[in-house]
Formats: sequence, structure tokens, C-alpha cells
Amino acid sequence: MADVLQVQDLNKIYDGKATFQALTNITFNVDKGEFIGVMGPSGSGGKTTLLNLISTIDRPTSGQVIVNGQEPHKLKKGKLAEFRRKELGFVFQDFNLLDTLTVEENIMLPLTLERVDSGEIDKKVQAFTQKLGIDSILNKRTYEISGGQKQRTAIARAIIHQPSLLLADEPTGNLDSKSSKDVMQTLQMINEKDKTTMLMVTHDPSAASYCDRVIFIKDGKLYNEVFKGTNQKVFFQQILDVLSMLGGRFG
Amino acid sequence: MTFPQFAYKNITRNLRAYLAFYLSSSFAVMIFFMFAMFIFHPALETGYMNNIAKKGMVFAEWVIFVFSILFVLYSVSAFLKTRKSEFGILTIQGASPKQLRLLITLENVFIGLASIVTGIIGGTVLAKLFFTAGSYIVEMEPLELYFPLKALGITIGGVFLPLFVLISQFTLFIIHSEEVVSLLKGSVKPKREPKPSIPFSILGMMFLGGGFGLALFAGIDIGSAVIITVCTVIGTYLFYSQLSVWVLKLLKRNKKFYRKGTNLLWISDLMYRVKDNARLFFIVSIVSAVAFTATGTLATYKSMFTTEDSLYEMEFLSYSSNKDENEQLTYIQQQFEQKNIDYEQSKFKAIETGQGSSNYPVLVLSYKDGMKILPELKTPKLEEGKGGFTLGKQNEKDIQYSKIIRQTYN
Repeated sequence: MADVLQVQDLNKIYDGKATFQALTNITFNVDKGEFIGVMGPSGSGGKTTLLNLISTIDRPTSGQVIVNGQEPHKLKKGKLAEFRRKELGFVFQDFNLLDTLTVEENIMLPLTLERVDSGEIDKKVQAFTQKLGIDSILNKRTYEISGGQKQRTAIARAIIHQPSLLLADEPTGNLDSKSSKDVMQTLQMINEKDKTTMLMVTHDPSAASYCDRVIFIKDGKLYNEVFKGTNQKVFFQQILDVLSMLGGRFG
Repeated sequence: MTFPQFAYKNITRNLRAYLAFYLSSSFAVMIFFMFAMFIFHPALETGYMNNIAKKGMVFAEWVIFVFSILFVLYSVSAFLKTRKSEFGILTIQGASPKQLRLLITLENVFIGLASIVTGIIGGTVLAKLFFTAGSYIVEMEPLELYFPLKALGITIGGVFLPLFVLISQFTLFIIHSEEVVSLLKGSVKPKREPKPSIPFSILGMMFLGGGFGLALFAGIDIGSAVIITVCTVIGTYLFYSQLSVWVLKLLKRNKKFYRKGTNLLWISDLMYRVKDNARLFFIVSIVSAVAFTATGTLATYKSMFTTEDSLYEMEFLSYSSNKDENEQLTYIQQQFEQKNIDYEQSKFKAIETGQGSSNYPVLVLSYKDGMKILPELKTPKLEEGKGGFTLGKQNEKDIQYSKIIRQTYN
């Protein structure tokens, strides 16, 4: 299978009062249709930095990120915008919805920026919101809906342009356990039905157990990876084991 | 939803965020326009007020112009700071630099136009008040409101419209130079606790005290005026940025006071507010001070001018276009007679003539009349085609003769 995402020898060093190496020689590949989790002890860095580098929000100090054969960090600003519009979808912990817009308008924003025909937009919005179960709140503003609904709105916005790679940063971090479960099931459903490739950063083991594979990062270095077999509960236990090992050995 | 629709919704649904920017821009336009209306007033173009005072007003307008730029620049940057995360979201959703530029330019021009309109309306109202109050102070006919084509042109086309466009391009530059990650975090960056510097606070006190002290007790000439201005400007800035925070900090240190009721809340809150808005307070203070001082100086100057430069206790100046001259003269004479005031009247004809752009017009009279009014001058005999120049009552002794006025008298 073709690799949607290749990460090679990625390094990130933050210059500041104390120079800090957030990532050291990270290398891994993600296949098309794969759902990858990135975990690590909360607070001890690397997860979000890694995601920021892949998502072009931040620049690496050295190394490569290749998405669908393109290297986004080498693109010029105009091309980079187009790249983000076509190849990437984002889901954040704090949703990052625009509160001046309604749910529907937030979802259609990527298509608007792409100047897609208005009729086409309506069709897509309808299809995706029905799939996510948010078609009844389309005309609500963001402050009128619950956290779970906000995150599903953000997911709809992230997938409406059918990106090659969906990136999620602690998507359940601000949600209660019921909403977390809903959101994770939604992501899993999209991954299975649409074959959308996903990369999710989380420190929540139950959220990570929805993935196909989980990569563990400790102090900016790759530590371990765990593949899901057939059973989610067994996978969940394996994740917990690695986490306790991570904590136990280094904590 | 198209992109322009998106821009429109962004403004209309987030009016509160735009309101501060709009109002402060309107304020800048208002003050600027009021001064422009005064400077370009048609009644002032033909004399009445002398040119030095007018130059003072033009100078004041320049000061206001510079501070308007700072003011608008500050409002825009404060406004954009609150919206950094919004730009971050748009960027990450794949908005191109071109689209962001369009969005910000559209917004700025839209708010700019709105505040220009508001500012001009406000400025006109203020100018009317200003004219009335000013005329009351200098005891002359109120200047009439007029259609200020020149003032409008300069305010709109010359200053503010270009300013808004330029500033929006400038802010774009700031946004583009930042990584998306810092944009996204932009609005939630924690604020550091304001730390006033004690030396600067004391320095500010000294500057303010010195400035006001000089203004109260020292004689005013050009030198001391400059020192006073510089002192108060620096002092005002330090007052807002350091001294006020320092005073609040002292209050905070007094635990008995600080931990009582709502004191804890307002003191800690005010510390951040004052620090955040120090520059804005400073600019507003300076602009208002310039406006008030210019008005005040103008009033004093005018009254000084009238008492010092007259040859007589009382003068009645009538232009040849005045049809009611005789009536008015009779009225004045009646007033004198009613109050039993002894008076002597001398009457002569004069020609008003300019003497270059920097000085006010002078009256030229014939040699014969001049000798009659001022026999003590003992002027040497003037040749045909030459004139003499006197600097008025105060300077009787140093009379200068020059060839600047070439006028033949009948």
C-alpha cells in the first residue's frame, strides 16, 4: 500500500532561554487508510510538536515530512495554503471553530475558501452532517451547542473536502467520557467507511484503543509501537501496559 | 457562502470587537477634521486672524496628524491581537495569503470609511461649538459653518483613507511573519504581571513636576515652552506606563487595604488594564492637550494682539464696503456722550496691504495723516515713492525705515 505520510529523521529544537530538543530523529510511515495514534506521558513533550510539524503549523529544524509525495515545508505560502486546503484536515482539542459563524458555515469554510460551487457545497454539507448526526443543529451558533457537538462539527469541517490525511490533536481532551466515546466512534466510522487516513495525538488510552496502531513517544524519541489485533479490549490493555512501563521506568 | 459573504458575516456578528477600533478611529478623524475646518475657514483666509496664530494652528494640526497615525496604528494592532487565533484557524483551513489580505483590507477600508464618516460628522458638530466658544473668548463674530471642501479633501483623501489602507498592509506583514502555531495560541498567551520600574516612576514624577512647575512659575518664552512641552510629554508617558502601575502596586502591598472587600479585584484588574492601555491613554492625553492648548493660545494671542498694537485706547476700523459706517459712528459717539466720557476723535483713511505670507497685514496711511496722528515721530521727509514703517505704540522709539512699502499717495 502507498504511504500517505512519511516522516524521516525529524528533529525540532526550540531556541530560547534554554535550548530544548523537543523531537529527536523521529521516523515512521503511515499507510493509506490507516488510523494511527501517537501517545506519550502527558506533559513530557513531543506529541503535539510532532503533530504541529506534520500539520505544517510549525517548521522542523531538520528532517522531512512527506504527505502524498509532497513536501509541505518546501512549498511557498500560496502553494502551502492550497496544500492545506486539499490534503489536510484538522481536529483540535479546543475545537477552533469560528464563533462568528453558524455550525453549517463553519463546516463549509474549507469549500468556501476553495471556491467550490454553492450547490455542490450544500450537497456535501448535507451528506456529511447526516453521517455525523449533526444535521439538526446546522443553524445554531457555536456557543449554543455542546462540546461533543462542537467536536463533531470540527470533524465535519475537517473531512468535508476529503483530505488525504486527517490530523487530530487530543480530540477528546475537552470532552466528558460519553462525548469522547461518541467522537471516537465517529472518527472510527469515517476511517472505516471513507478510508480516510488519520493521525491522532492523545494521552487518553481509551481513545487510543480505537486506532489501528499506536506509536509511543518519550522525551521526544520513538519508544515503542503497538498494533491492534482483533480485540479492542486487549489492545486497550496493551496500551495501558506500555504506558505504565513508560511511567514506571522513567517516572 | 462566498468569501465576501464570509467577510461580511465576520464583521456583523462580531460588532463588539470592531466597535473599539471604529470608535477610536472616529475620535482621531474628528479632532483632525475639526482643526482642518478651522485652518481652511474662508473667513480666516482674508486676514482677520493674523498669520502667526494660523501657523500655530497648522502646527497643532501636524502634531495631531502624527499622533493620529500612532493612535490608529495602536488601535489596529490591539484589534488584530484579539483576532490572531481567528487568522490561525483560517490559515490552517487553507486560506491563501491573498484571501487573508483581501479579508483584512476589506475590513479595514470598511471600518475606516465608517469612522471617517462618523468623525467628520462629529468634527463638524465640535467645530460649531469650537467656533462659538472661540468667538466668545476673542469677542468677535462667531465664524460661520461652511462647506469645507478643502478640509474634507485633506481629511479623507490626504490622510485617513491612505492611512487605513497602509496600516492594513502593515498588519498583514506582521501576521505573515508569524508561524501559524503562534497565531493559534495568539489570543490565549498568558499575560505577564506588570512590573513598574521605580527609577522610571520617580523620573516620571520629576518630569511632570518640573514641567508643571516651570509652566506655573517660570516666564514663558520659546526656550522654556520647549522644555515644558518635552518634560510634560515624557512625564505623561511615564505617568501612565510606570507611575500609575507603581502606585497600584504599593496599594497591593498594603495587605490590610488590599484584602478588604472588592479592593483585591479592582486593584489587580486595574494594574493589567492600565499597563495594557498606557500607550492609548498617553496618545489621547497628548492629542487633547494639543487641541486645548492651541485653542487657549489662540485666544490669549488674539487678546494680546489687540491691546498691544493699538495706537489709541479705542479703535474703530471700517472697510470701504461698510455701508452703515456713519450710523455706527454716531452710535459710538452717543455712547460716549451718555456716559459723559471725554474723548478726542481722529479720523483717517488707510490702505490695507500685506507684507509677505508670514506677517499680518498692515495699514498704510498718507504722510500728511501720519504726521497729524503721530507728531512725535519727527519723521524725516519722505521722498516721492518711498514709505515709512512703524511698529506701533509699544515700540515707538525704535522706528525703522525701509523700502518695503512702495506706495504713492494722492
